[in-house]
Amino acid sequence: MRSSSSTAAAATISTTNKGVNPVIAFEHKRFFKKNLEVTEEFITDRDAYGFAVRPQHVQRYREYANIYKEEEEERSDRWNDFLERQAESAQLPVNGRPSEEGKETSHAAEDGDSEVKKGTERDDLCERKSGSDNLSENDTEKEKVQSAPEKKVHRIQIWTEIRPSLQAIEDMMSVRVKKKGILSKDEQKTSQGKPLTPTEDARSPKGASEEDSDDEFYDAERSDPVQDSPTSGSGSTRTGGGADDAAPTESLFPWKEELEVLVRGGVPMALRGELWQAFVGVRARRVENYYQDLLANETNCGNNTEQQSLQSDSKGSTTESIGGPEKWKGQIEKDLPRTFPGHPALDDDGRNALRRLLTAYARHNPSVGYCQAMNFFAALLLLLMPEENAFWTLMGIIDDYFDGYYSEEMIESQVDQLVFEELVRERFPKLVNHLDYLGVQVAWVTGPWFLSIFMNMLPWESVLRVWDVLLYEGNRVMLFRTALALMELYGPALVTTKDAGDAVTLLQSLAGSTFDSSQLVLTACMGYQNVNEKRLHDLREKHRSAVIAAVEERSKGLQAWRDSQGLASKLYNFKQDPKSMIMETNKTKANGDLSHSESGSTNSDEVLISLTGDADTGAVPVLQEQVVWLKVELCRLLEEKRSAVLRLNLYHLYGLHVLLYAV
Amino acid sequence: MGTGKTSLVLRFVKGQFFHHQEATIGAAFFTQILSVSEATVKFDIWDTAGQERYHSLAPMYYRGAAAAIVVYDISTMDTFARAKKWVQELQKQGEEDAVMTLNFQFILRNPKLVMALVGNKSDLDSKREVQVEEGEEFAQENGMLFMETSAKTAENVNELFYEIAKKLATASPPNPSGVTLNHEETQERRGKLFCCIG
Repeated sequence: MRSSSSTAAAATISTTNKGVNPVIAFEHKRFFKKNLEVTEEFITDRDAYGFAVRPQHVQRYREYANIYKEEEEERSDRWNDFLERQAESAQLPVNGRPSEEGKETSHAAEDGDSEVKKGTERDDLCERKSGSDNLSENDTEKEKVQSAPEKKVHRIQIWTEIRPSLQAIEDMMSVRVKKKGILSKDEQKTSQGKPLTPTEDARSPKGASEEDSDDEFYDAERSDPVQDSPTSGSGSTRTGGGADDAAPTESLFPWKEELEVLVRGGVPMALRGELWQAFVGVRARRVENYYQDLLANETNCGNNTEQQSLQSDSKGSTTESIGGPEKWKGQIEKDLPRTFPGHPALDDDGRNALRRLLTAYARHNPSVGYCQAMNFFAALLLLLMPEENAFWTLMGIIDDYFDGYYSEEMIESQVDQLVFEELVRERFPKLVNHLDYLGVQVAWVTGPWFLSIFMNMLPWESVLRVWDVLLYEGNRVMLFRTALALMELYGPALVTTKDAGDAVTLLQSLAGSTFDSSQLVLTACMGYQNVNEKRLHDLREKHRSAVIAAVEERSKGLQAWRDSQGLASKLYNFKQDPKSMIMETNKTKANGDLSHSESGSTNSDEVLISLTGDADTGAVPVLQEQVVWLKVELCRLLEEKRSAVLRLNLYHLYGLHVLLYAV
Repeated sequence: MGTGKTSLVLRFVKGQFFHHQEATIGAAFFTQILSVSEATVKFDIWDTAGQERYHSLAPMYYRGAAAAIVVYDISTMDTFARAKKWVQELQKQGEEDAVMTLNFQFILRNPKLVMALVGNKSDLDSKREVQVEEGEEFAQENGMLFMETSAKTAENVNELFYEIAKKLATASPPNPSGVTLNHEETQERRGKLFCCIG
């Protein structure tokens, strides 16, 4: 039934049991036609979210569209049922709300229910998307409201509370926001040497939880992003998974487990924007007027903003490196048209909103500023929610979930790749052996996966499903689980590849055709439960010092080539046999010295020592491991009866006399 | 817009050009096979992200590369300055990182990193900030190939990769006992190619 362009893997991917009804393809054809009119010349097909479908995936997308639709209907029913039961059991509202809000409540609740159903109709949704109601600018809003009276008014406002039926969920998640606030303060002492820390965001009790005793946890002061003293965020060293975070509240929220199951099954499209906000705890994060004030800075700068933006367009990267004010401006301008080009909702208004959102975030957290990838996140959020809501959601994601990821040195990103490499090695030794043999580093491919949170790497349905879980859990565990699931799904195909290029191409294209989003998410969540925040925390601790050491060395202005030592040579460490893995785990404390030993140890004596001493000298671990690897390499080459030539080559090229003798 | 790294590669690999090419996050991978008179070269191309801070991830992509293309935008002087920095970094790594590059077998036959300096967007001649001579001169000083290209009009794009292929092929003359990654005695060469930014 399913034809696949990526033939080698067809068997591994198409494991969904659901039948495919060819009739459904019709619906989408209609949609495609409709959208062709508004898209740019080169885009052929767009999916139900308005995102481009790559030509090679159109066929498979159409096949899966039917499954998606069925799933969407099922999950809408399940969520409706869940929310109804929740509403019944919560007759005594947890939070005393002002009466006006109460009024709005009943109205919006109805509205919400009808929208859940409407969300199952893809075509309706498309229309709504292309109307780009969320992306409108202030001044055009009223027109839009008038021209589209059937649309929910509150979706068009700049800031909108999420529907009351979801507020219990929001309350539960907001507890996590508060807890993180505390944690982050504790961690200030322990966060060693993280050179760049995001600005502590102001969190004030907003909304209804006045009677909560949590008020004391808030930093009630409005924080100015410029004046704010930098304090450590909480993301990287947070302990406990999403479930653990909220564990003490279990009694308050008996439906938590059910919610988790629902989230893993996917969030209904119609509720996605609001549920994501609830998961991120947007209401608890929000400070009134903060977003507007951030943007107002621009007008304070006077009329020269336009010039500034033009100037920095040409000088953007210079200013980025020397760190002038608003240095990210040029990069944002460059990337605006390069963010989901041709998406129907990203018209001029949409791109203006995107510019504001990214600018506001950069001002909010100058230590991160603007990093490519955030443009995609911000745009996605703008498609799902009003502008200011998108800001607070983005802030939560970047400041908390991905703390240290997108900052200038991208330390946590590098750390995560080392951690992931170790996990892959542990879980898929055969696959890793093969990749080692081909000379492929997993991080080549998974680095971009993590940094993009799978955007543009997986089909959109799968991206959104992963985001559902990730945002719910409140950490990066889902990144790891998803990537591991992908390795599980595609490992069997990968081990058939014969060279590095084929392996990378195959993995990239298989990931891009992971249309079975349910299989992916369930494999990720069920298969890798022992990959949890606690475990990741420990592994990160183990690898972080090496990354930081490398970064510091670089910033001290040492030779540029050493830039590579941190991530790359650590990755090489894993390339050998299981023995070196054990060494690796045992020598955590030596990590800080790694870069020194490796940079200084090209003299032949040391090489000799590590060769003869085999695995027990901790002094030059990296070099030693490299040598082990080289030995393996050489053995293999020798087997190929090319020994003489190779010995000669090696000898002449690199002068590693010692190596040859030792082998 | 960036300097056009992805556009350049896409033009070469797929013959396509998109006016608004999506920003590259991290890196993207492409392959293309090219025949020159001396041999057939299979390019494994890593196209890396342009933003400065992604630089910290670049080493794992250029490490072991047989060739590197450093791209700047002729209409933006700043990108030329950054291109120069990249060249310096790549040269250092070529000299001093030899032990590490051993991990890639083709490096055995391409001990010297083949580098090309490319001034892209030659169609924007009216907005030119970097003169042809400046590029040429810098390339010559550093023993690099030099070419001005336009991914948009396809000018010089295939020529660029053809020149690199030729250089790779001559840098590693056919050797019956040479090593290929797939263990076949073919004339095929493989070059991991690193595309970076100016």
